[in-house]
Amino acid sequence: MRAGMREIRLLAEFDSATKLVAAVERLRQEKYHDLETYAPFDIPELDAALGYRRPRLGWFVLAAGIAGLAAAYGIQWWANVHSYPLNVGGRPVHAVPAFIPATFEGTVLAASLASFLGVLLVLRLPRLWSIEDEVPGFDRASIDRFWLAMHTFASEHDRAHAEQVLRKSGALRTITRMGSEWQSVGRALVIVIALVVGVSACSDRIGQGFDWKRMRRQPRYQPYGSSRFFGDSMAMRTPPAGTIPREAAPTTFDTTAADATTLLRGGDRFHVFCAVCHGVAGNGSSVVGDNMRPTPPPALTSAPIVRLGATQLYAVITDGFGRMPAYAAQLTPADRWAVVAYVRMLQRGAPSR
Amino acid sequence: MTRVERDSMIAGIIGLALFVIGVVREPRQALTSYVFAYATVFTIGLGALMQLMMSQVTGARWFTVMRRIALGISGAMPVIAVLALPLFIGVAAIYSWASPATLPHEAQSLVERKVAWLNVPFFVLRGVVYLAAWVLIDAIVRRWSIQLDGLVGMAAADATRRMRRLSALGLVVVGLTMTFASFDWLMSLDPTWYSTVYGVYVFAGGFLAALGLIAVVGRMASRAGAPLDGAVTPEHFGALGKLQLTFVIFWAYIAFSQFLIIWIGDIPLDSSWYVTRGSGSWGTLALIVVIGQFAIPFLVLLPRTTKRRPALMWSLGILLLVMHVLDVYWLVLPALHPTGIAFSWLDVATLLMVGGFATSFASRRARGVRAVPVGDPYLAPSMRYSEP
Repeated sequence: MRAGMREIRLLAEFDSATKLVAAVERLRQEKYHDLETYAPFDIPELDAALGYRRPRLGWFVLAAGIAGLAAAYGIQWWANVHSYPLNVGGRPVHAVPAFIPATFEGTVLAASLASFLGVLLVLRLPRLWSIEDEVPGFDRASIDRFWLAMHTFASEHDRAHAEQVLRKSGALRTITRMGSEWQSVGRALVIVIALVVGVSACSDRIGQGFDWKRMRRQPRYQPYGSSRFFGDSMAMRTPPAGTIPREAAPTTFDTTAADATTLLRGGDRFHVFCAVCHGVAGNGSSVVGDNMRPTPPPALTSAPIVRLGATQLYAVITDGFGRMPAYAAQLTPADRWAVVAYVRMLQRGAPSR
Repeated sequence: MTRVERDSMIAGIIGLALFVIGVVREPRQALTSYVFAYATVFTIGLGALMQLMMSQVTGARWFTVMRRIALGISGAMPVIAVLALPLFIGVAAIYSWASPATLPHEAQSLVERKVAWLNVPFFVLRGVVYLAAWVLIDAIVRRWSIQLDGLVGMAAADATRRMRRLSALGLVVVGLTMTFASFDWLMSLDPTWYSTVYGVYVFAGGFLAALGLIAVVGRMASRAGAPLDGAVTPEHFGALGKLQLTFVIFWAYIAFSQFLIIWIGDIPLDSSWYVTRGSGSWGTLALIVVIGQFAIPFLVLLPRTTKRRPALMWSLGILLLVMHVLDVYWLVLPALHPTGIAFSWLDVATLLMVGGFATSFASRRARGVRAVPVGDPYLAPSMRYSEP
């Protein structure tokens, strides 16, 4: 189906990369080819499963480089030899060494522009909108979920079969959406027109006779100026007594009194976000951790971490520490405390060293 | 004694004998040829040392598995220091600034102004300082690298970090000393001529040749049954090829910028150096070097597939080494034979001598050293490396 026609798109959500790869492999065996995948990290196996070949962009870039070379040299030759020959200190008008720097720059310019535009062209970017954007929960493709999108079905039966394959491969849910690429083009047009209208408003004539300076002269208070309105004659207001910065709001939680629901939630979040590096047992042993040498993630059960206060652990989860990124976006405050409680439980249960 | 050690030692001894005969019969030719041979070899040794340190500073994981190859090459450093002796002993016969009275009148006054720098005692003192710095840095890098073989865990991580800091400092020291060494030993062959980019030019050539030699040794050491079989893969050759391509372009860029500035300035004193090296048979040699050290490697290294073929990278490595020899020959010998190439049997003899001794010593020193740095925390990622 080409752009412009209404398009059926089938989406599936997975909770593991392995299932996603397996689903891709099965779909390709069943001759479904128009597949697209979304994952929070690079999955090398996917390239093979999707049957990606190395792009031929290199040839395009090479051709552009040669064209840039010829153009840069040609324009210099035309200007210096043909159009306007100048005698510069007796040097030949066709001064090859002097032409080379600009020729070099022209080659690099054309080649790098070609690779930049080529990538946009091959990936069909920029894409202002796609159906996926409107699926609730799709944004988790950049956190902890794996999505697969496919379109171009020969018939409804064909689509239903694909959906069945996806479900068998362990998809959490499948979603069918209709959409048209014209919607994307339409939105692009709206933006372009809005920009054009905005720019056209900048004509000199429109501003003539209008007193723009009025905006600066309007009555207003300066932050540190005085005011006759308030009793203390200050323009700026002091916050009410007892106000504290939002960041300094007391955050406490008794991790020892956490109930089973909290610990289960904490364990669940721990396995999603923490165990990847710190290990399932929190002992710092994991594949990712081994690859982070020479500064591997510490064992959460080690003495220095045990000595940290619960609030410090909470702060590290919130803001990150060293090579660990902040998890404030992925974990709600309640979840963070639940994770801290779970870590405390791991620490209590860990064999003493 | 292995075959490489024995054969290169024999080559060195034959070269030494011929060199001694040469010094007696035609000392100026023999010693100038010696400068050529010596410069060819010491730049490769320093190139390998620079690559060792550069890979540490940049954290290049792909190179970890090939690092011992570079360490093997830079292992020639002590013998390179000893082989500098003829330069210091024969300084009066090699460099015309040592006896200004023999120079033409105009050149005399120019050289006299440089006497504070260009005088024999200071020349020797500087040379000793350069060589001491190189031997010392190579010794520490080697010592720490071998110590790392016995370390695990945090101790290995700490040793790696320490090596990285040393490398950052070492790069600055070697960069500066190599620049001044090339000014002293090579550029001062024409004492009235100077170019500030000369040191970088010499470095670029030597570094490129070292990368070529790493590819040659890497290919030989990763063939079936060889020590690096299965460890060094086409992925590593691909990465090495990219680095080679970068430095092929870098060399050309530096060579051309030196030429362009002098060509466009068109001042007799500056351009005389290029007039000598650009006319007659020297001009032909220059063209061969431009094609062999830039055009051919550039085109060969451009596609992805070629860089990943060890056999091709071996051939290219040989080409780069041969071109480095010709490049240095083109830098040095016109000082003695300005009218055109005058090939002498001493050019070959001295190259046999310096190259033979350096190879023999380096391979003897590599004996008993593990083929890969087993304690390096980056070894496993390096072996798994795959080109993006």
